[in-house]
Order: sequence, then structure tokens, then C-alpha cells
Amino acid sequence: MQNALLLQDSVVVQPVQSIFTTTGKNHIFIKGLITMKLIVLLTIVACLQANAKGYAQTINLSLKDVALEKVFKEIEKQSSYHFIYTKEQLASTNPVSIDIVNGMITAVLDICFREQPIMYTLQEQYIIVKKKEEKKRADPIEAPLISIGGKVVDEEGNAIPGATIALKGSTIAVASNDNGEWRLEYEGKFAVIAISSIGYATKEVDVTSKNYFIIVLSRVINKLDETIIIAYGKTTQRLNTGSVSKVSSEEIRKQPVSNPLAALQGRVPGLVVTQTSGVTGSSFKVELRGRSSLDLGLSRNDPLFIIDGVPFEPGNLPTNQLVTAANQPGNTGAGGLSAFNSINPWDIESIEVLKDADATSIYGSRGANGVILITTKKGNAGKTKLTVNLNSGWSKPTRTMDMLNTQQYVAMRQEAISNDGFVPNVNAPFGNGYAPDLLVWDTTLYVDHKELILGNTAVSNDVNISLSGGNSQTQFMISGGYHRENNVFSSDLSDRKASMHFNIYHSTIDKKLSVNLSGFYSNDDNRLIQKDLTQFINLPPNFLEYDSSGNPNWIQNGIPISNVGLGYSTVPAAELLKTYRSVNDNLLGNLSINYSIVKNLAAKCNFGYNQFTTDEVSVVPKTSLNPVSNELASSNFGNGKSKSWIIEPQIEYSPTIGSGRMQILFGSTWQERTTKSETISAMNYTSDLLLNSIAAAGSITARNNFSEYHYSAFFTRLNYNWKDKYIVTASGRRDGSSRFGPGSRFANFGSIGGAWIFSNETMVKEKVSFLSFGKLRGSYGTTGNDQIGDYKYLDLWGSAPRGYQGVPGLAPSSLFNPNYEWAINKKLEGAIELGFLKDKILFSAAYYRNRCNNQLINYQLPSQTGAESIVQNFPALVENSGFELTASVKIVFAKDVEWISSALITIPKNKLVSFPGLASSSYALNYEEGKSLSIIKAWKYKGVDAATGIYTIEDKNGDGQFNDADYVVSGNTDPDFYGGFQQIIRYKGFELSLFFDYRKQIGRNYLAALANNHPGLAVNQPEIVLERWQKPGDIASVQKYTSTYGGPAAFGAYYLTNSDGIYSDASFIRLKNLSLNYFLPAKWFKKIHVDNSRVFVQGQNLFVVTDYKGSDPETQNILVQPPLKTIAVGVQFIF
Amino acid sequence: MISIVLSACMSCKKFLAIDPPKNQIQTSEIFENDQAAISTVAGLHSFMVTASLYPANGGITVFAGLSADEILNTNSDPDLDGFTTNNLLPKNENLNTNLWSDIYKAIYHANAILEGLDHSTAISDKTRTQLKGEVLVIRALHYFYLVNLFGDVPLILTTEYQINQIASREAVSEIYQQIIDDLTEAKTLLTVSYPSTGRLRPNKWTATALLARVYLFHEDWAKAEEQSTEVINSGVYSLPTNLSTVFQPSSSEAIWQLVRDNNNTSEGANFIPASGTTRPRYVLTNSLINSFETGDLRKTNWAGTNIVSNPMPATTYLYPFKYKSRTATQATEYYVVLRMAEQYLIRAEARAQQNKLTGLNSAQQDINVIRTRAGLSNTSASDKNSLLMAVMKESRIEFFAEWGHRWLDLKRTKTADAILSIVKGSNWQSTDVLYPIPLAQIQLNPSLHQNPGY
Repeated sequence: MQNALLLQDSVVVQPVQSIFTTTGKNHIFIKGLITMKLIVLLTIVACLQANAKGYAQTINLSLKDVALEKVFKEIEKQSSYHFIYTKEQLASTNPVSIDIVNGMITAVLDICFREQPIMYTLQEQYIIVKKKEEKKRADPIEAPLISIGGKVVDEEGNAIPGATIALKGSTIAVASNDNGEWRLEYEGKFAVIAISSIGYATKEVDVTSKNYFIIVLSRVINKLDETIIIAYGKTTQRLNTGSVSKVSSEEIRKQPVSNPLAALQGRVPGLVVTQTSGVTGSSFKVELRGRSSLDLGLSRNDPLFIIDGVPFEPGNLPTNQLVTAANQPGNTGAGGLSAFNSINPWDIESIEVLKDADATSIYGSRGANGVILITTKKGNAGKTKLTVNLNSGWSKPTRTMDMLNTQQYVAMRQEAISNDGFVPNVNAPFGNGYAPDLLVWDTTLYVDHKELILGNTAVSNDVNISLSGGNSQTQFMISGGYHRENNVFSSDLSDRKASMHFNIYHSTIDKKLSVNLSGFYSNDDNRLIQKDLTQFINLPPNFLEYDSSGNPNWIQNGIPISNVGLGYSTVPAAELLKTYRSVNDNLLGNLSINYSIVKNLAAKCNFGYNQFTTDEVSVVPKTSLNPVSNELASSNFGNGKSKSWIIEPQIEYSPTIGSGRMQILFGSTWQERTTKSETISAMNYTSDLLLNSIAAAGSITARNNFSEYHYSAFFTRLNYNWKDKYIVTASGRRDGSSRFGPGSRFANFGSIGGAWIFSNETMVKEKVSFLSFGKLRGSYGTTGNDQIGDYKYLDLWGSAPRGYQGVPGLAPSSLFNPNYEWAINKKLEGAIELGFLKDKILFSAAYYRNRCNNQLINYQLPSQTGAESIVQNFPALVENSGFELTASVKIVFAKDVEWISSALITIPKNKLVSFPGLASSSYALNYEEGKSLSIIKAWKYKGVDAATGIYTIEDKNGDGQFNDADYVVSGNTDPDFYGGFQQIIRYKGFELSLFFDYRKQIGRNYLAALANNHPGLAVNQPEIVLERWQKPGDIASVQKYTSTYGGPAAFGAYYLTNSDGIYSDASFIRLKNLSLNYFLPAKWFKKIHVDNSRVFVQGQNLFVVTDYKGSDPETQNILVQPPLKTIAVGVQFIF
Repeated sequence: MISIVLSACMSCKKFLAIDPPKNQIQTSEIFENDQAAISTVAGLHSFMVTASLYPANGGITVFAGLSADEILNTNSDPDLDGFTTNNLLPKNENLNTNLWSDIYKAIYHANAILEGLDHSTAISDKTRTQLKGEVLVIRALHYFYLVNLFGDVPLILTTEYQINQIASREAVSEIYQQIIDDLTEAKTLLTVSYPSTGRLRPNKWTATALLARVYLFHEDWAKAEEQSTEVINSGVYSLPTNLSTVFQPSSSEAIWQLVRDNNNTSEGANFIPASGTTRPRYVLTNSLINSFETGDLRKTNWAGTNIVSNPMPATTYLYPFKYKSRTATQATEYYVVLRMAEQYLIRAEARAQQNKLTGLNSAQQDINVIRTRAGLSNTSASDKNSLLMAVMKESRIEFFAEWGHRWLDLKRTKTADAILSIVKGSNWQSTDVLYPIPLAQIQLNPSLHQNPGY
């Protein structure tokens, strides 16, 4: 009972007669003996172990000239008595000599307190130390003497010893003891104390209302000492031997994004996150430290994603099986939608990106492309906190291209037809001057399709509520969020997300056993359409999207749209009726049990479960079909479910060896995953009313998939830290995966890393005083990759889509390879980290080199093999190397202005070091040894021929033929460098933060989209095509208009689109985020118990500075919806 | 300690042993069982008709028809226009996907079945023989079109991707030899009765009829005559007098048909306009329309007419109308791969080349069989050249918009240059008789080289 006595954070103090008593409410009442003034002694009590042995205890002491405190300890050891004192009280005491056998406690105390400036009172088993009363306070007007006390703890509830507790406006200050406890007496005219400790944010507390305070300090002051989550543990940047970058909840929170991957853009050195489309819920390409895989399909370059210790099953693979507006145009399979959209960014405490071998090797076969750890929020000890956050945002596409208006379009068409030697007519077959758009349609009509399709504003609303709190033993957090955003295409389309998250931590009093349970569940209901309407921005500008009765316009003045332009088989108004809906349920839970067996030896086990289900329906109602087509309505249904559990038992031993601390971890992983999916294609509905019913369909075809994956591993890690100067980490893992044939299931991975914190060397400390931190670190090790899909070693046949004459059909599933083996990546890293002027300036520079040899990929094959690819080891050596630099400066001007400036840059280099047999491989035309994997190998573009007006390319070998022998390498599409920079300015309650994301790169420009729709056809074009060739002698950037697919100009367009002419500068600097926070004065809402409140304005992707010839330099496709720029406003209250 | 580690490793191995996927079967299990083996052949047949514009499901008809002087596309579609204007770009997606890749996928499927059958011991001999014969016919059909569209092509006869991925193009004659070998063997394996209801899977006469065509293309006139005579004399097939029944499921003329479960032919879907007043997607060329003689029943039975009066003046369009049903939810029409009329024309040409010009068992006699059925009078041609011309003309009309017959005939008789340079104007070049090897394939296999002119 008494253990918990003083942990209460509010204590009612009343004068009572009983000298020292306890009540059922755990309140302590103490009456001072010396004066009538009430003195509350609330000190070192958490350690009190009140085992009542009674009074009849005797003490034996034989000490000479020892500190009084030591005597107290000895007495406590021999008896059940406890002393209550502060270090300050003992500061001026004299040493004691005592020699007593079987002495009564009072006798012993009398000796100890003889000739001391302090005295004691004995109350039951407590010996309360007090200052000797020197004089009576005669003056009644003088302020009363007040005594307050408390405890300083960190966010996890651990005591902070040595913290300074200072009375503001005075020179009075005390320090907390080893248990974080402190006591302070003062004359009652001061109201505020300031609590500070190195490594923690200083906190001020009003002390007028109570006498006992538990003060929670948050550990943020020095970036170097922030907690960093690593594989199976934690560390700090100061002590880490590996390469880990952290993005904190604070940085995520500033961004009005609904996908956590979006929040990473530009913020992590070595990580390139690219948005593939602006459509709600669309996916992000994630590439950590360059591209190592040649296979952009199956295994790709995605890092391993782990949420709260549980592998996130869908990873960065698309969640959709059916085609949606998030798919790239022409991509008819799975693709486009991101599983991360189902994770509420508000639930995230931090995202750690693990990069080098030291950080990733312990993930063995899954760490080849790096590891991204997502950690969700936890509760803190202290007052129960209710946080409410509300915000609303408005979004529009970032950058688009202006299209020709009708007048310009008509002029282009006429010029094209005349260039081809025809006169516009309406009877000829296509390509012979057939131009109903000029002759039959009204050429004075003007419809700005781009504006109609992309001009709307999407609105989003977001509510997040969380409740957290607890005490030193139990902490909890419960939160819920709801997010709704509609779509630029139509406000009827919306993405609605509801999520719930919790975390419960409990430990026994002795901290031997602790349990942490965390989990979240989310439901993401994304209502989209099936096509990205952006691909219709090039409809002829004199074509109306709706007919006079408001239905999709198929025939204008008797001319079907399908006869015009590219043979449009559908129109945007009809596409808006073809709905798509995807509902994702994501459940992730983790239970972690920690048991400390003996001192320094702990056993731990993590249990994780993740279930991700996708339910999709896409509907093509009769009303969305061309009425003359006779086509019937149809629906597609898709279901996907992946379930995975993981168990990771671990043992950790952390002995002290010499002057160093050692940590040895042994563990194993057992993981099992099953995935199932079905797609049902239901056709020939006779009524639009029953489109969601499979039974109502006229005919049905169905397909299903099933796969199972088992994975197990043993791992170990050894860390030795000698006096915070020399740190070594070694890790090893043996992995087994069912994705390999029975003969090659196991492989070993390992790494070694070390750090030398030279700033802790005495010589450096003395000689280089401006250097507050200096560390050299390096690592080398191996990782692997088993992300190749299941069963690729089996020779399998699957069900054919249809039977034949009622006999079910079987078809070969894919090529199989029973012999492929593990690929091993070798990662090397060296880095220096520096801190200057008490860490106000921080700098780090890292060099990395990852080499991937004999990598396992989905090797592309020519179709003559009967397949597109085969899983096999690829005999090439790919190297990614680069430099990552970060710097930050923190300046405090005057008293209230704080300015933090930080910048990061990554300079990557990708190289295909060697590739034996390249010339005879499927990759002969794609790659060159010694060059990047992203080289542009194509014809050399030579511009528009001034005489003929047609795009020309170089005939490199001069044989008069244009073929692959003429290909040249012109640069690559890897970024030359990329990164971000941030400015944060804080003034009183204001905080302004600006974050820019930049990239220097070459990319595909708008010309790439002209492959099959060159200017002059009945397809609208960006205004930029006005710079075309018109007559011999013209120097132009666009070739002459042509209205056909035959003839030299059409070939010119073919040559252009297979040349380097479609690549140009796509560098950009984007104001990725602007965030303005104002913390409202606390007194405003004090009455309604609001502790903390702020209002904020946030902007995302506000503007981009670029010379890119196209729409957005990130999506690089004028027919894909560009990313959105968003402005959001919101408020947050903490109760 | 060691024993703990060992037992952990053992359980690890056990833990990693997973069941094969529930929705798939391993090869070793398939060819242990007659029914499963039959399913592999059913799968191959269904693959041939599943996709629209698959080579065997309207693809060759449309693409080769556009390349020749038969049909025109009225919609603009860059990938189709390349065929119409004979300006095919090597990156043309129809070429790569619908022709090249789909054909090689079918060939892989066929090779996988042949290997499975060869290695299996559990399948009954009767089933094994039957299935092998069928698969050989299917493989031969695919190689026949590959070699005629692209010229030299890689000859793939196994499933060994390590070898197949670098295989270079084999001479046309080598491919023909393989086709002849396959069909000759299939003839010995297949029976005269069809293995399933209808004429939907190859029998002996299917192999023979295709072999007759191959000998004709190979200019082995005597053998062409011999094989076509075998089919004609088999007594199984006859030319129905009513032309509208030729493409019906019950057609007495059909030698090999394919069915799409739950749907009708892709040609019907592609050629028949959605309504009677719209411009059809594909229209007959004027040169074809003009080549019909007056009173030819084939024009009235097999060509459809749409009159489009908006915009004025009203324009009349003729389109291929051999298949009468656009779409259906149950198959009411079968796709005809081989039919009897061709055998008469093969024999007529073979006989003319062998100077069997008039009288009994002559070229003239065979031509007249076809003309009579079309409601036309007997041919007036009697010398070798005019009889060969007459065969060409009948073939053009009889097989318009059907399996690219016209394109293949123009190429093999080397009349393409003379005829198409007039129709296509400056777009035509002599090298256009061969399609380009798809760019994507050349990029993936450095041993493939492009046809001249591309």
C-alpha cells in the first residue's frame, strides 16, 4: 500500500491530530511538530518498503567519520526504519563516528544527530529529518513557509535523477534524487517552478494549487538523444551504429495527407517516394537507395514494411484486382491503389527508415531493399488527456497543360488535312481527309475538357480523437479517426476512412513482467470510377460531353464520337456512371510480453497478426453504354484476403563487462501467410437494378487464386558499448522460406557495424570545445530478398478462363524454375556525424555502397518461350552508391524566437557493374555495362527537319536503316540529386514551418504522349504544339501536322517517341508543405478545462518551380491526374 | 543444446513444407489421368477462341484483311491503320500481342501437352493417340500462320525456356517441313470420327485438309491434289446449296469448327454494326465489291448493307456478314476454321498447275462446283493461266473476310506487288508482304532480326 502512497498527483493536505496515518484513499496526512505551520513531507517514498518488523529492533554499528547518509543507509539495512530527507538537508551535516552494539534506534539516532544542523522525529518506522528550528517566525505578516515536493519522470514513467527544480524569480533550486524525487521549501510568494534536465524539454508548473507534483518531461531537446526504433529494439542517434532516419509524428502531423507514404516525400535521405497519380487512394513508388532490381513487376524495389513489429502484408503491392481510375492508362490488371491509404497518419508516432546492413541485416531475407518501420502512438503516464483534432481541406490538381481552344484546334485540323493533300470530307474512310469534326460539328462551340475534368475542387474533412493516460504501471491510448475526401472528377465520388487504434501497456510493480498490446482496425471505403478521366482532356474541343437531355453524348449531329479522333470507345460522362468501389479492412494487432528472468536477462515474445481484405465491385450499367452498341450491362467483383501471423520469441542478456555494457539478443521468427483472391466477371445483365447481384447476371466467369507462405528464421545480435566511446554491433540470421524449392530453402545473412564517438575522448573534449558531438560509424553486411511470389518452383497448371464444350480447361500457369536460389545483397556504409556548439548545429554525411549480385528476379523473356518471364537468378552485378548529407541549425534569438533550419541532399549513383552474357540476353537493348539501370537507350533525336518538317533521328551506323543498331545511350532517368529543406520559425505561440522537396532529374515530357496521337489528328493537343513546322526553312520544335497514321509524318512521330527526344529536364523544387500553427493562450479556454489548444493552416504541394514540358514533373504523363495541392485549416484541443 | 538447435532446424524444415496451391495442379498429376489430360486440350481450344482478335478468333481475318484489298477500317485506330496502310510500325501492339505472342503461347501450351503425354505412363493409349493428333494439328495451324505473316520465325518444339529464349529465326522451308511432319503424323494418329460432339475438335480429315493447303502453299501440286481428294472423297462433307447455312453450327461443309462457350464468334462481334444506320466499323473495299459477278449469291448472303443518311448525302456501306449473330449469351454460331469449298479450290489450283485443265477430274470441274453453288454459270476459263486466274478470283470471293485467305494468296502467288501497289498507292512497298517482327520481341531476344523494310 505505502509503495503507491506518494504517486498520487493530487494530495489533499489537512491538519489532523494523528501524527502519521493513512486512509483508504491513500492520502497522507502529516502534522508538523515544531511549528503550527503545516509542512508536508513528500519525498523519497516510492522506494519505501514498509515491512513492519516492530520496534524491538537493535542496531549494530561501527563507523568512523562517515557521511550521515551512509549511516542512514546502514540503519535502513539493519532495520525496518526509513529516513525521509533530501540531499540538501544533509549538505551541511558533519561526518559521524559511532560504535554501538545492540543499540536501540533512539540511542543510535541521538548519536547521529548530535551537533548536526538538523533534527529528527520518529514516527512509526519513519525517521523524518528536519531542519533545526533556529528562530521563531515572530512576524505574522511574513509569508508562510511552504513545502512542496514531487517526482520527475520521463514519458515512460521512469524516474529522472538530477533534474533541476528551480523556483522562478528566486535563486532557490534543488535537484531530484536517484528516484526522481525532490522537495522544496520556500516562503510562499513564488508561484511557478521550472523543471529542467539535460536531454529533456524544460517545463514550467504553477505550484499554487497543490503540494505534490508528478512532472513528466518530454525528451526532445537534443535530436541526438531522441529514441529511434530499430529492429527488435531502440537506440538513439548518438549511440546507433547503423543508418536509420526517423520521421516523427510532428512532421507527419503537419501534412494534410491521407496516405502516410505521402508524408515521407523528400524527408529521408536515400528515399525517393513518387506519387503515381493524383487520383484518391493511388499508390506511391518507393525506392530506397536506388534501383537494384531489373524487374519492375513482381519483386520490384519495395522495402519491407513493418508496423509495430508485424510485417504489413500487402506492403506496397496494389490492393485492387479490378481496373480503377488509379490505374495508369492502358494498364488493365491490378495496380494503382495503395494499401497504405488504410493507415491513419494520425495514429503514427514515428516512421523509421532502416538503410544499411547494420540496421537491416537482422531482417535477413527481407531486408534487401531496406526496411521501413512504422510505430503507432502510445499512452503516457500522467493526467488523462483527451485530444480532439478537426480539419478541413480543399484540393486541386497541381500543374496541368493548357490545351488548344476550338479556334486553334480547327486551324490545326485544317492545316493537317491540307498537309496530307486532302480536302476535309465526311465520306472517305479514315485518314483520307475524313473530318466530320470540322464539317458536321459546330466549330464555334468551345468546351474546355481539361477544366471540366480537372477543374473541380475536392473537399476533405478529418476528425481525430484520442484519449490517453495512465500511471507508471499502466498506460493506455485509444483513438479514433474519420476522414472523408471527395474526388476532383466528381464530388459524388469519395473516399471514407474510419479507423480505430489502441495501445495498452502494463507492468508489474517490480517491473519484472510487462505486457504491451496494440492494434488498429481501419475501414477504407473508396468510391471511384474505372478510368482516370484525365485521358479525355484531349477530346475535340467542339464535342459536348452531355447531350441536350443531360445524358452522355455519344453522337453529335449524327456523327458518333467513335468515328472521330482515336476512335473513342467511351466518353467521360459515361465513365462517370461506371462506378468502382473498393472497401479495404485492415486489422493489425501486436502483443508483446517481456519478462525479466533475473537481472540483465529478459525473455520476450512478440505475437503479431495482420489481416487485410479487399472487396471490390465495379459496375457498368446499361446507361453508361453506347445505346447503339447492344452491349449489356455487366459487373465485376473482386475479393482478396491475406492473413498472416508472426511469432518472435527472443531472449536478451545485457551484462556489464568491464566498463562497457553488452547486449546479446537471440530470437527466432515463425511466420505464416495465406492469401486468397477471387474475381467474378458477371455479364449480360438485363436490368441495371440488380448489378450488385451475381445471380442476376446472364453469364458468369470466375477465377480464384490461393497461396501460402511460410517463413522461419533464427537471429542473433550482439552490441557492446564501451563507455559510450566505442560501440560494436554484430548480427546474424538464418532464414528459411517456402518460396524456394526444397533444396534451397535456407540461407545465412550477417553484418557488423561499429561506431567511435570521438567527442567523448578526453583529448577532444579538452582541445576542441566547440565540437559537442562527433561520431564515426561504419557497417558491412548482407541481406537478401524472397519477394518473388509463391510456388514459382512448381510446374503448375491452372484453370483456363473458359472451358470447351463444357469440359473444364487447363492451361499452364507459368514457366517454372526448380533451381533458383537466394540472392545476396552486400551493403557497405561509412558515415561521420558531428554536433557543434552544444549540438545547435548538427551535420552528418554518409557514403553507402550496395552491391547486388546474382539477384533473383522475374527475368523477362521473349514471347516465343510462351511466357513473359521466369523467376531466375540474374547473373549481373548491380551497384547503388551515393552520398547522403544532412545538416540542421537551431538558433534562439532573443527569448521568444527560435529558428530551426535543416536541409538534406542525396547524391545517388546507379551502375550495372557487370552482366556476363548481356549481348545475348533479353536485356541486350535495355542496359549497358558500367551505366545506370535507368539509362535512356534509344534513337538519337535530331530535331525537326527544316526541309521536310518531320522529326528525324540519327542513323548512327549510316546503313540507311533505322533500327536498334542505331540506339545510343543519352543519360538516365535516375535523379542526379534530391532532397528537401525545411525552415521552422517559432515565436511565442506561433510556429511557421516550410518544407521544400527538390529533385534534379530527366523525365518523359509531353511528347511521349504523342506516340499514337500526333498533332493534326482529331485529338486535342496542348498549346505547345503551336510551335510546329509550317513551311520549308522553319526551325520548329514540333513537326508538321498530319491527319493520318500513314505516311512519313506518322513515321516521324514513331521515331520521335522511340528516341531520346521525349526526355527532357524534369527537375523541380516543390513547396511540399507549409504549416502555420498558433497555440492559443491557455487562459482562453481554461474554464472548459482545455489544457492546450491550437489552430493551424496547412498547405501541401502549394507550388512547384520547374521547367518541365508537361503537366506535373512527378507523374510525368499528361493523361494522368497530377498530384493535388491542398490547403487545410483545423483546430486541436487537448483536454 | 545441440539437440535443441537440431530439433529446431528439423521443425523449421517441416514448417516450410507447404501444400501446393489449391487452385492449381502439378504437371505430374495431370498426365496421370485421362480426364485431366483431356482438360489440357480443352484448355488449348478455349484459349484459341477466348480473346477477341486472337489469331484463331477473328484476328487473322481482320488484320490480314486490312493488309490486303478486302476491308477498310472506318474508325481511327493507330494500331489498325498500320495494317490498312501497310505502314506497320514494329511497335504495333496488335502485332505483338494478338498475333505473335498469342500464337507462341498456344504453341507453348501445345508443346507442354505433347511433353506431358510423352512422359506419361498412366494415360490410356487411345486417349494419348487422339490428344497428340489434335495437338499436332493445332500446333501446325499456328505455325502455318506465323510463317505466312512473318516469314522466318523461331521454331519452338519444347518447353525449355533456356533454349527457346535465344532461338533465332528458322527458314520458311524448315517451318513448312515441321508443319508437314506434324500433320502427316496427326493423320496417322487421328480417327475419322470426331472426338467430341460436332466438328469442334480435329479428326483425321482436319489434318488432311490442312495438309492439302500446306502442300499447295509449298507448291507440291501432286500431294496437294492427293490430300484434297482424300477429303473430298471421304463422303463426310458436302457443299450445302443454301449459302446462309455454311457458317451455321450444323454446316455440312465444315471440316473444323471452334466454339466459344457462352458467346458467339468474335468476327460476328467485330463486323456486324451495332445498328442498321451507323457506319460499320469495317467495310468492304470498292475493288472487292466490284469483283462480284452479277447474281453471285455470295454477295447477297455474305455481305451486309448499311445506309447512313446522316450526314447527307446518304452513303451505302457493305460489310462482311458471314456470321449473323453479333453477340449471344449462349453459343448459337460456331467459328469455321476449315471448310470444304477450300478443298475444291486447292484441288483446282493443283490440277491446273499439273495441267489437268478441263474434262473429268480437272481444274475446271472443281471451279464449277464452287460457281454453281454461288448461282453462277460455269467458268469460261480453259487454259492454264486463265484457270489459275479463275481460281484466284473464286478464292477471293469465296473466302473474303475469312482467315486472311486473300492476303496469303496474293503473297504466295507473288501478285501482291502488282495488285496492291495500285490499290494502296504510294504507301505500298514490296517489303510489306511480311509483317515486322514486333519491336518488343527483338528487344527481348537479340537473336531476332527485323524483316527488311522496317
